[in-house]
Amino acid sequence: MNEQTVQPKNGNSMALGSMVVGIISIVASCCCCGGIIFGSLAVVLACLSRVETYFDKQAKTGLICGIIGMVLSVAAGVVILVYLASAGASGLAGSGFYY
Amino acid sequence: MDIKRSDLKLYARRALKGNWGVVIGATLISMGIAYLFTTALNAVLFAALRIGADALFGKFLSPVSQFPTGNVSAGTLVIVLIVLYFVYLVAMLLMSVGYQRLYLDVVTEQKGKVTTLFWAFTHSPWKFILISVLIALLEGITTVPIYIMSLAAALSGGSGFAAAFLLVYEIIFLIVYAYVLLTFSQFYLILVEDPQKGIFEALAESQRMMKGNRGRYFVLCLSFFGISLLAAFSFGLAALWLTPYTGCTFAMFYLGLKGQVPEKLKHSPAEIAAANASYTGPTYYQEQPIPQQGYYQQPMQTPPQDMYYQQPVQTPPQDMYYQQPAQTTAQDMYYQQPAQTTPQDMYYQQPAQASPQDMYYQQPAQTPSQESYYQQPAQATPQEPYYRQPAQTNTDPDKNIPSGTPQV
Repeated sequence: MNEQTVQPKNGNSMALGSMVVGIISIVASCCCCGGIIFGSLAVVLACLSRVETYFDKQAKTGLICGIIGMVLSVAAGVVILVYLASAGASGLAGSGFYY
Repeated sequence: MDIKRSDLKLYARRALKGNWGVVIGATLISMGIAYLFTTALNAVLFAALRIGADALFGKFLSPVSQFPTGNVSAGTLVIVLIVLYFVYLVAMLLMSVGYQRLYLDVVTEQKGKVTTLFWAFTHSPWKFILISVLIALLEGITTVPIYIMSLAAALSGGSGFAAAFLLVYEIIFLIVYAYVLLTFSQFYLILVEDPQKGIFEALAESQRMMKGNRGRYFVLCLSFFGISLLAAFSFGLAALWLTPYTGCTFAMFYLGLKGQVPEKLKHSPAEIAAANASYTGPTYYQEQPIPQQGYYQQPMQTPPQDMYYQQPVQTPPQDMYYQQPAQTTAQDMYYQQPAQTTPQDMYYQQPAQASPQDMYYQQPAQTPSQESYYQQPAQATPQEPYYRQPAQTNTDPDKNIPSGTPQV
């Protein structure tokens, strides 16, 4: 083997970052847009971390966590909107606003 | 040569690995400079507005009267504003050219530096400024009819003819504009690679390169829509990574057109073996159509890589090869085939041609990378007798094996 052999770099820091941001997205999905912001970032980082024909385990974890975070964030937003709408409607009806 | 879109992106990601800090740093620096310029422009603009507002409404009623103006006049401020704006435009233009140079350095495995961002300031800046002014003038001229017809429609209270003219004109304008953009899309990369080339020479070369490749480039542009949407969801944060990624992919497309994609970034023998194992279609040597058009696709000759492809057992030191593309061990593997006597000897007598050919041999049939082969016509020619005269070499009746047949 030649002396100038370049040793492959161990690990993929971007895949690790994707996993971390993906986990943060799940945690932040209860906030306003945290899940969407961090989730989309995790998905992008996971996609960009693939330098082989397959995903790293960490990148795959980040991808899945990011998607889950985005879905949870959207679901949380819908739930909050429905709750606010129902609370607003009942509040207005109870206050006799329309009478 | 046609490199698959997914492969272009994969090669770009491989090239960017280890260079993310440089390209993101360059992006942050350019964003900082742009922020400074816009802040200065806003300051001058508000100062001019204050003077105007003071003149119109009086100092106490002016809505922007808190902004200091000093003792300069409104005319001076307007001149400063215009000059500053043009300096801002030129700086942004030259930095965008520097970006192209940086991406080209990254994909060609040169050491990327943040200072490459300012490369165009010292390498033929007037050339880039001139072509940008020409482009702006052309755009301005072609949009003149739109303004005229819009004005006519407004003055006449809206006419059907004007509306139809505007619709048809804008559709035609859009199509022509996209065609021209695609045709000359490689212009900046050609110039940043060789700043000594003239503007029209680079335009002609871009046109020649993009012949037959406009559709691929267009689809490549569209393929970034999804990930750009995701980047938008992240409030632009992901654009820090996405912008260099797209830029390097386009630079890789340029290298692909020239057939200069670095071997180190290409698929490793393990990936090739896996692709060969999963490939069920016809082999390249037998049935795959050979493209006859396009840039750098002229001297098509019988690609001998099929012999190698059909010997997956003889791909041992894959890691070594993957790290040492220029120093392959394919020759050793070749030597292990004593049955192929005569033509091999001819081949061995040309050791200088062995290395690039070996790299070529290890490309998969699904992703033919003949570009490296095409760009070395001088090296390929001496091998022609061997591949074109198989009947003369197989004189042994017991080994009457036609050329190109796998020697497993």
